[in-house]
Amino acid sequence: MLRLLRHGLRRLIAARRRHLEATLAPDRHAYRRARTLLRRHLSPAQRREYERYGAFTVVGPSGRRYRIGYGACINIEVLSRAGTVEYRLCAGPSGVPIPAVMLAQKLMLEAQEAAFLQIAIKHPASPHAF
Amino acid sequence: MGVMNELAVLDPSGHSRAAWNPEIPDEVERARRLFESLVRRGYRAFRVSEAGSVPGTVFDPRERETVMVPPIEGG
Repeated sequence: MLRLLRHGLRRLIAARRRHLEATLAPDRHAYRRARTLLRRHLSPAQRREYERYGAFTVVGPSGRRYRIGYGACINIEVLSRAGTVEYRLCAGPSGVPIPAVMLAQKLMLEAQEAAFLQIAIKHPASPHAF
Repeated sequence: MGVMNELAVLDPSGHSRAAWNPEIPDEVERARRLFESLVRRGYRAFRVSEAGSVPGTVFDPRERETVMVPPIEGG
């Protein structure tokens, strides 16, 4: 039990650190470069969604739909067939601006969904769920 | 100047680019070394085109664009 708690705490700290690294990156130039690359690799429909809502939808090889929101942590919503949020996922690279995290998540979910799901940690759909 | 193919490496600067002409062996070799060193460090390679992205672990100098993603961790 104690080991599980320690493991969970370690993961939480890693996720927080990743979010802070990505959020506090002082380099606006880096942010812009990452955003340019992200936009270039979005499909036209994803680009429209991203420009409008700051989030875009990807479909994995399994047919499962995910919405990647602006963020580096717990920013992936796993959608039901009806479009409601079932739960959220957290996984991404460290030390890169947020748009680069979002691009990494998109590439993984579209091309290596199973591998990504093995790494990602599940979180409730809302902070008050579970 | 011929066609230039590229690796885009996600990093703290947003991304870095390494370009090569597939007809120039020295440039291809330099890109191959970079690709292989990144894969050894846990990066994942995605060959991207309008048709979508395909993961790969072997350098292909004919690929137009490859995005290199740093190791992913859950949290």
